[in-house]
Amino acid sequence: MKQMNCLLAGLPDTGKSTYIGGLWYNLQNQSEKMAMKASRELVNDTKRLESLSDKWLYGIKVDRTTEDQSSSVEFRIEQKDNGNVLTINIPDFSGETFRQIIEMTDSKELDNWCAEAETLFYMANKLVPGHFEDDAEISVIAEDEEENNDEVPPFSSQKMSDSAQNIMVLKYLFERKCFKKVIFAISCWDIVTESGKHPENPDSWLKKQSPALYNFLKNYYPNSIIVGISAQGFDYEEVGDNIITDKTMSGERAFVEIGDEIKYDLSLPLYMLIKE
Amino acid sequence: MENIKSAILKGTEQSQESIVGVNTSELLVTRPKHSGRFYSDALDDSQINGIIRSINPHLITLIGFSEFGKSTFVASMYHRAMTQGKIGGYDFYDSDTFSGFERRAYIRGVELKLKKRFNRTTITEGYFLTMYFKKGNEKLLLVISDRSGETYKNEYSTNAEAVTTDMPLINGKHLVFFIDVSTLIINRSYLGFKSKFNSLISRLYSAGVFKNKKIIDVIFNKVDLLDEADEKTVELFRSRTKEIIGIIERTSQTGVNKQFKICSNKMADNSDLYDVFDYFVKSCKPVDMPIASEIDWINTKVRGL
Repeated sequence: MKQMNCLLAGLPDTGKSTYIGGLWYNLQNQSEKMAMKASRELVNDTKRLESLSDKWLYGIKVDRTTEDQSSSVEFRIEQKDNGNVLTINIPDFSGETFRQIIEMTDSKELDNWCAEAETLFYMANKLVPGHFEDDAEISVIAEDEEENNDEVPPFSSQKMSDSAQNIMVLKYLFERKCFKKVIFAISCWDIVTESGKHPENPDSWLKKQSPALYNFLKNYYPNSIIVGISAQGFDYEEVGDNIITDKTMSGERAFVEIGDEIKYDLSLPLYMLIKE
Repeated sequence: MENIKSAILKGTEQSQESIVGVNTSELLVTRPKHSGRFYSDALDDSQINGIIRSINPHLITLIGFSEFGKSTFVASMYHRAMTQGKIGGYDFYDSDTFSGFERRAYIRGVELKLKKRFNRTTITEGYFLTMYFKKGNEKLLLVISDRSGETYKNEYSTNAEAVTTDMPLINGKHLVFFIDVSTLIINRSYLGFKSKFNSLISRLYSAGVFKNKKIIDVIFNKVDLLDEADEKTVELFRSRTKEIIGIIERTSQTGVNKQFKICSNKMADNSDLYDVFDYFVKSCKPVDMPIASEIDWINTKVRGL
């Protein structure tokens, strides 16, 4: 049986654990419309998968500050088009592990994982390339000046622009491994597309919103695939439990957008990484 | 403000500063381990040669005293590259020094908005910043030397050894002098500036900086402080600009290549500023380099080390 190590990476709050939970639930229970399904031969330990899957099912946010330490998840999937069964290993690192790259706090566990991984699945949602007060005309600046105060927080990695933070994490990973395939997933895609009502090409969107990041990615991995992902499907705080349940039952809750097409199949990015 | 900037640039201020109103535990959480330095921070002399890859670098050394706007200019150029994705028709696709740029962008924001007290602690600071550009198969590497203004004002103008050991300054082909417009139009400031500037440029001459052929440009920054309606001030500015250019040309025995008048802390609709960015990037093209085959900064530097 083939095995694939996929490094799931991304800064804090980019939805990595939510994605794993949503993916596993759908692979097991809603795979009719998906490219892959869960294999009947389960791996030995699915405790972490089940925990994340339950949280996704009931619309509970995964709060990493109170969660246990990083752990890896392993699951066995079957490609529907050829029946191949594959074991996939995905580390569930906290976003802080990746932020610490910028702060030069080494993570041997991450480095080891990076060395073992064949493919990279990178998730990001905040992608602003920085903001200066004088980006706008003077009249606009004057209004903002009201917020002025006398205190300056120290310069830290979190004071850096979203784009730069993401580029640096990618740079670190690219320096350590030449990945066979790279998926760049823009999470919270329901916000961009109003829960899928207004499709937006993720490739064009990233190029427009964060051009330097786009250039960086395409320079080193010209064939990298940029997708939009909404693992939650919507903002949990804006919808009731009934809607979460209804959407989950209909299989039209979590979605990905590749090109200009929205698909209710969280396994598609993985499928693209696996596909020869 | 000068001390604040220096400390942040040197990457040390957050480790030992006294911060009004900032929770100490929060500070510790965000404090990086390595003396305030981050991954992809500005590079120092020993690190700069490590960036040599397949692309020939073009080094531009920014020379100017404190508060003249060198780092603000650098932060603005970086910001333009990050938000537009390109400068001068070339795609900006990478840097070895994202944190170094971000640090300068942060200072720029602080300067525009706030005032803050820091206790300064110094360590050896990196000051080389890199930007990679490409158009089709053509790739350019811009290296900017952005030393603190204090170095030029307090060390280089008084200490010969400090200049003679600065190999990138001596071997580099492209110097850009930053002049603060406000120092030219206020008599008292001008006298102090001119005296210091004369010392600095003489020191550069004595150290052999001008022995190798160089491109020399001058940027008159903070031009927004010049009241165009005030004819007397405009004339004063014009005559002193000429005087400064004369000092540079006489001492260096090199004609000033380009003069720019810019305001580097206004990003919106600032074509004069964008033109300088474009010029910097296009300067990286080999065709624009002076004929000086024996002066290859990188190789010289490598040999020197």
